[in-house]
Amino acid sequence: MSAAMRAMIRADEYRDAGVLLALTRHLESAPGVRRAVAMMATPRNLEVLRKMALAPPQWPLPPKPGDLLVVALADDEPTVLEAMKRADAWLSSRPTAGALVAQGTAMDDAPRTLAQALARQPETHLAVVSVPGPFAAREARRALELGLSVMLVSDGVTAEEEVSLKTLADARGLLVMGPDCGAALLDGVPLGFATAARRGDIGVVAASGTGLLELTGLIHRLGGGVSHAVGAGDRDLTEAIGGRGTLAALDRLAGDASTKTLVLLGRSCSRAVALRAAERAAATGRPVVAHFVGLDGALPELPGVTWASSIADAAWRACEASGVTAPPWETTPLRRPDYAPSQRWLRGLYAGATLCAEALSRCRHLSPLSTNLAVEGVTRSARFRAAGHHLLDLGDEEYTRGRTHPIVDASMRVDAIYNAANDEAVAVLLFDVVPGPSGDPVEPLREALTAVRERSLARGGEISMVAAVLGTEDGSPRRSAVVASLEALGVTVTPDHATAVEAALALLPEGEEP
Amino acid sequence: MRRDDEHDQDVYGTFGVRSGVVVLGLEQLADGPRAEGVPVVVVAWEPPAGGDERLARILTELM
Amino acid sequence: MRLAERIDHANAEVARRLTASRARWVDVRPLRDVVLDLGAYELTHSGPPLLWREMGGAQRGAVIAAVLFEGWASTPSEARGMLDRAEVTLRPNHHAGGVGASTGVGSPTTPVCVLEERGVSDRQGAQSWALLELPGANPGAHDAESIAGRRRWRDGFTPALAKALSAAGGVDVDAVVARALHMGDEMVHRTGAATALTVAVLAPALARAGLGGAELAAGLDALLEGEGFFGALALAAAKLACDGVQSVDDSTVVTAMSRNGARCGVRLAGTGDKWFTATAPTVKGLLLDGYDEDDAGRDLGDSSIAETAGLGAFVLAGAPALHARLGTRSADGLRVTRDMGEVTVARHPRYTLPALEFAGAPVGIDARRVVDTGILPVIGAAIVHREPGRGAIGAGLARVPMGCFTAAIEQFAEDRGIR
Repeated sequence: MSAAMRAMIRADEYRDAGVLLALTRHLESAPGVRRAVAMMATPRNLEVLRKMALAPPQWPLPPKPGDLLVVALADDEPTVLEAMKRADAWLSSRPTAGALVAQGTAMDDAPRTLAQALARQPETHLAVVSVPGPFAAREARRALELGLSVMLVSDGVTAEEEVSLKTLADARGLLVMGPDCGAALLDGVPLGFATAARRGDIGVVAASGTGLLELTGLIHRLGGGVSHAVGAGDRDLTEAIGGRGTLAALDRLAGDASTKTLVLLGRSCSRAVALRAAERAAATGRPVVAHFVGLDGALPELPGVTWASSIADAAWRACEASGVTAPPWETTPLRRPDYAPSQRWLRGLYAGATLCAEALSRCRHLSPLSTNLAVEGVTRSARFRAAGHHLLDLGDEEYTRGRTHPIVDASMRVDAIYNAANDEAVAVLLFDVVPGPSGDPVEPLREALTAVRERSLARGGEISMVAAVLGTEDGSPRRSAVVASLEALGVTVTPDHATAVEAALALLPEGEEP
Repeated sequence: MRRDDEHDQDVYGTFGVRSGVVVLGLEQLADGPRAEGVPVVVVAWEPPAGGDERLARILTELM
Repeated sequence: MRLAERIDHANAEVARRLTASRARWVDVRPLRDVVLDLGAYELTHSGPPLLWREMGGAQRGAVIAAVLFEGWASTPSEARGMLDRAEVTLRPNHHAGGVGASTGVGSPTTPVCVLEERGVSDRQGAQSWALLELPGANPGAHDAESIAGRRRWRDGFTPALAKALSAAGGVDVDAVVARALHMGDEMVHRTGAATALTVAVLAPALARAGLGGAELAAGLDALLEGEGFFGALALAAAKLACDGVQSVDDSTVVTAMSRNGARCGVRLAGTGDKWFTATAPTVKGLLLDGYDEDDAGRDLGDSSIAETAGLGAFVLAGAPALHARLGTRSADGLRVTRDMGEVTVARHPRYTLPALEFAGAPVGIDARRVVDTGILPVIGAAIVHREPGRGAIGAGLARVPMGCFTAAIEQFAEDRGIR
């Protein structure tokens, strides 16, 4: 069936990525609409549009970065025209901040700047900044100058900017969490994409969002509780940043009476900086459990510090130190299918960088091995496919430019899963499922996961699927519900990520043991 | 701002988050704090210079 | 000093000069007496420069009417012929040292109010002017009766006004503005209080100037017709203040905003007299019965010099009665004035707003802040009919396009070696 495509430019109309995604979903929900895209016409986005073959051969007027683009691909002309009408109606019913009133309608009352926002709510202490990367550092700086701590969700902030922000924060007794800090739990309030965890006495300082979520989710499931989980940012424990964020967070937790145990979780660390952080944690007098993903080699004995072997292990030990003993998980039964001779490789598709790093650290013995993470001694590749075992962090800037993070927008991951479904060399697919802001995290992946099973079976083999599911029974949807829908799709779900990696390795055709 | 005042700590928490949050960027990030009863103001943020990055860089030199 | 600091210092200097300016209305004269290099067949117009063939309907109508007014032609088609053959030249009011509201077409014998600087010390004696239109008249009307009416106004009343002004020793416009702001005027579209205050100063002087009873009554009636008389004085005062900061080096403050029905132009202190233009906006507001959006022409007028100096829509919070004409609400007025505070460098010490706890009017638009926050300056505007001679069909608010400010900032930066 020949398809019809239409594009619409709305000049000088800015909408944030979440709103644009909601519009896309709204348009794609109509029967006959095959693909819809809503984006700001930045040069990067226009390039993405071209790559998706959704850019019209010619624009009536060259789109400006401040213009909003809506493109739809549908079965036929009437359907695509209807889609454009729906997009127009949807946008028009949601006035933007800059809209001027006509005919007696009141102007939008939202503050346009941080200063205006503070004037309206002077008791504010935290700014959650998720504006596009190039502008994030400036807004964060403004927030600090106005006396606010910052949760910097945005990525795309340079190391220099990060140092500058954290130095400014230190000078003012404020905190900068991030950049790329997608989740935190402070004062029992879930921030960013965090799910709430039981309140308790375990204080967490973690590099990235998914690491924080895995850790706090496990603590909750094991019966422990979290006082605060502070994000430090992925780069924080590198030499360049020197652990400024982690140290500031530890100082703050030191002054918190309700925190009685500390957990430190890092990745891509400099050994020296990581140890300094562990020492500072120990200096608070609380028992410390620390895990630095990918930090190889024996770690020295530090008084008061317990080294954990995985994120899950860190959760266990922290609960123990907190006086909570949980029975061990039940082992997940594994079924090894009959692989086709072509099937050899492990493919990891991750939304979370820390989890991807944890998988990588447990797969170092595999060969050939590649990843898009920057890890010494491992081939770097950002392509979906590789001739060998391949682990991808799809939340990396490389993929998120022009899009939202995979926790919000699963389309990149869906594409990667389809790629694996079509790859006769893949034996095991390993991925994380992270509860996001928009309901069921399995739904966007359903079709693609079904394709993995069906297409591999049609080729005379079968791809094993293993998933680590984050979240708790208190989340929405409940973790058990997510697990059930994955199992119905033929996915093996283990209780935590470390065991998921073990399961994936065990399921490889040669049964690779670590 | 250091929350040294113990009373404030009790009411607003160690990190002062419960007294108020400002959200810049994705509107949906207001939902979590709001559900906890935290006062949230969402800034109707738009990129400076209409999204033109080159111009935004020029602005940083001038401001 | 870093460039950013130099800019902040320059902007502070501009703010100081803008708010120090005090205008005094000293004279009423024909345009050619004030613009000494005005050509024998030259007309002025509002907005940045444009050619006769580029003019929209409303301004074309006013230009033709001006040619008839001066007696250069006796029919509209004769007038059009002269313009097509470039026998009549055109110049922006701003380039001749003055301003004109709406179509803003000035001709050699058009009466203008002349204002003089009494505040800024190194500008003593500097002057500006604004076109004085016959109150209530349609500047684009071509019919003989309308032209005759305008001539009567010119020949009969304005010399008397000049005499009265001289007898009164001039009028302190600055003082009137400050008082009228406390009486609900915004100095451009709502000027009733300011006009009444001005007339109160002038009426005795008019009487003493020797006008007969009927003439005097007609004159006072004319001054008070439509309550809009003070508008011209406010514009001239704003022009005076802004001309005083025309070339403060390194300042990113806007020194002029103006529209000609086709383009909207902006000038910055730090880039001299260069205009940065974009398509003139459409005005969003309340249309009179029987008209719709398709009847409207694009925005035009030099009246936005008022907003450039912190008045007009910038003090909308103080003129709630205007909302009935603009189609807006009280909350919108507060919002506009507060938002303009985000992009301006100072608050006026004498022009204050009771509705905002006597906060000073937001003065000195910083083009950097406009580009950074995306908050575009708001201007109050009449909505004019797109066809020549049809006059105003409504009023509302418009926003000065971002293109003007981005172009200005780019030029400013390039001049200082930043790309």
